[in-house]
Amino acid sequence: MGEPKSNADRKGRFVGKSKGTDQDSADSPAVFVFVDGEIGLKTQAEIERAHNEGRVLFRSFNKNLTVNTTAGFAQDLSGLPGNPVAQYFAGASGESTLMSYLLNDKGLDHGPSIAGYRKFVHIVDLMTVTAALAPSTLRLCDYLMFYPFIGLDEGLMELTNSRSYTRYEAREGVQIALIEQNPYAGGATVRLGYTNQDGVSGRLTPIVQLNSNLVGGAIATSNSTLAGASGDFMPLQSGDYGVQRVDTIEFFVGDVGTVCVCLVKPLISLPIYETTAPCQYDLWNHFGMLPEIRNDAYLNFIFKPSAAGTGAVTNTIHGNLTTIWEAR
Amino acid sequence: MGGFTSKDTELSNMSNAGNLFSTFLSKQFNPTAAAVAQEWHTMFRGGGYPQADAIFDTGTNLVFQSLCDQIANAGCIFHGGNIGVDGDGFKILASGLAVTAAATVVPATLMLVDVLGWMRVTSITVTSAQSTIWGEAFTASSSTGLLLTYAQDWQNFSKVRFTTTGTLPTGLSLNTDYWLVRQGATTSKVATTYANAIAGTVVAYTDGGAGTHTLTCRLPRSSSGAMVNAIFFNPQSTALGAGTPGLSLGYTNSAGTQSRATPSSPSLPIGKTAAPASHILYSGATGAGKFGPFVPLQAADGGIRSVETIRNNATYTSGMYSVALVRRLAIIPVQVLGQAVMIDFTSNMYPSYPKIEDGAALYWLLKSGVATPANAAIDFDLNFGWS
Repeated sequence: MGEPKSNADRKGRFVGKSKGTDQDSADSPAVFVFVDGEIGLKTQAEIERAHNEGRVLFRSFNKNLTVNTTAGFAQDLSGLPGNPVAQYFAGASGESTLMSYLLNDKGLDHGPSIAGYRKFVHIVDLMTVTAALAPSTLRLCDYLMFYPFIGLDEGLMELTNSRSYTRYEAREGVQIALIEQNPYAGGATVRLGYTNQDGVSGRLTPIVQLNSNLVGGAIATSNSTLAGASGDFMPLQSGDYGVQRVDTIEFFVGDVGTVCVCLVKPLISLPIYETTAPCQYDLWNHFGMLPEIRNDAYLNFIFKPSAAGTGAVTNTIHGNLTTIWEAR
Repeated sequence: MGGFTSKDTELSNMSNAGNLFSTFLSKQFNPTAAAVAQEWHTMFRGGGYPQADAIFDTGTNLVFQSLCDQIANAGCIFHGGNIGVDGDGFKILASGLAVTAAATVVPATLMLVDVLGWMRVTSITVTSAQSTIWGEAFTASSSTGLLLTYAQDWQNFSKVRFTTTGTLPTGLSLNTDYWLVRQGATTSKVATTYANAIAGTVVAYTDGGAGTHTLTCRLPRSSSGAMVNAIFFNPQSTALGAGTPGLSLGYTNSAGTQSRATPSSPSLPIGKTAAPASHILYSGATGAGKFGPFVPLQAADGGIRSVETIRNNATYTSGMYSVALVRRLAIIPVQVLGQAVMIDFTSNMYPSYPKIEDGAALYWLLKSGVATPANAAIDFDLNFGWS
């Protein structure tokens, strides 16, 4: 298995035109000298300093749950209306397609890329006034790459890996989400073949039972009581904890509809407790860490309610995302 | 390595240096039966992610089987690989979150444990104390490295020590830990570190030594036995038969004192008749002999280093049970349907800094506050950091 990938491996000396001291690095172009050990959010005082010096970005979002939701069934919010704008996992059937903030997909606004510096999620605010949407849990994920429009016909299908994702090392816990694109009937069983965090191909997931949630964007493997379901992500073979790419998909019991295989890096899970109480999370104080946002990350949420709800454009989850980054 | 000396070093490591690994998983309760309120169950055999185990009802009767996260079909929670160069480092569990959207699961209590090993008991109609097997004699030979041959099927990566009546084979020393690299049902090679065992780097063959050699298993982690406890549980999907035996262990404690015993006063732990899959046999709401989740230890003992005997003093009519040795790491209460409970294990909430040793085989135990339905799913996150 070996040692985990450390971001320290990515640190070092970036050679460039200046080692600036100005505070508005968010809109500065990119290249500067970065000497390992000189910078970074290494102390609690430096978190405060980041705010004081303006190395902070505050952005709001609102997503509309226009689809019916069911207790215990997870829902991808990237394809639903609101801010950020919806995306629909468009691409060639079964072929790897990259996702990024700058490329075309957008996702939650986390500011521009800051080459050589790292950016972190510090504070997240969440609220809803829609009864059916609380209590609930949102998983903030970086969506890396997807294989769209895969039919649920029985049998084995080879996927096309014409691209590889670049934002994370696979061993950092990249997971597979199976997302409903064109509604199925329910009851299909599926197994994926993949290449694991160490580059070992031929790895196989267990056979997983898909749910019968007939809604585009549903996480097909989620269900709070269904035997054989696996939750938000496809379980990996024993000993594996990350995925480099998906090589095959095999349905043992077929169905109508299409699904998308999406590789995501989950960053943090955050609850909404009730409609009368907006939630604010300081990730350092609540979780003892600051999840890093890689440059060009496509961020969005996987949402899981604990009650059924009828879709409506007024069903909204509001929130704010506050990011901070290192000093020059 | 692994721990932190201050909050600033924690931040510096977990965010600045990226020494952070998070799991985002969903585990189901056992697949065949609902729990009775106030019982403890293992979540080893439940489905979801990670997948159900397929190991705890396997193995030779009464033989200790060492467990680490490398074992196929173990179905343990991944935590991001090893930290120490020799596979002897550790991470800390910084924070965790648990939530369920499955009706009638809450309230419940999740306990995260590192399962160090287990012994399966199939001779359940024997009512006397039965001796466990933690080692045996072996012969040494050459097969692209030093090859040990013995009778039992020891688990891959078992941590062992060697003794002899004569001279150990060259490359092996007394009072030194080694790791088995399983070659077949009765053969292993030997590695000098856990990391070497995983990498397949083994001790070369020079000679076979002289005399009768013996290998003895140790706990793979927390080897002194400090904070190590035992559970009796039903490891398979079918229920145990009828019977309400008193359950007890003879063990060596973490100080190395032998012949320690499960106290019989006020009562031995009493197994439940027809205990269903995953049930911790002596846990429950009322009546004598209810404990949970761990078997009580003799007074003043801090843990179990090894188990010498296992006893059910009355028969179960059918089935099997297993005794697992575990180290408790953390507890997360699941309080209200749909409302995630977050615990910070490093600062204000529960600053216990649970230690996740390299190779740890992490699982949940669950205490039901209500009649937890079969296959009920609980989502959880665990965030690990290291220095």
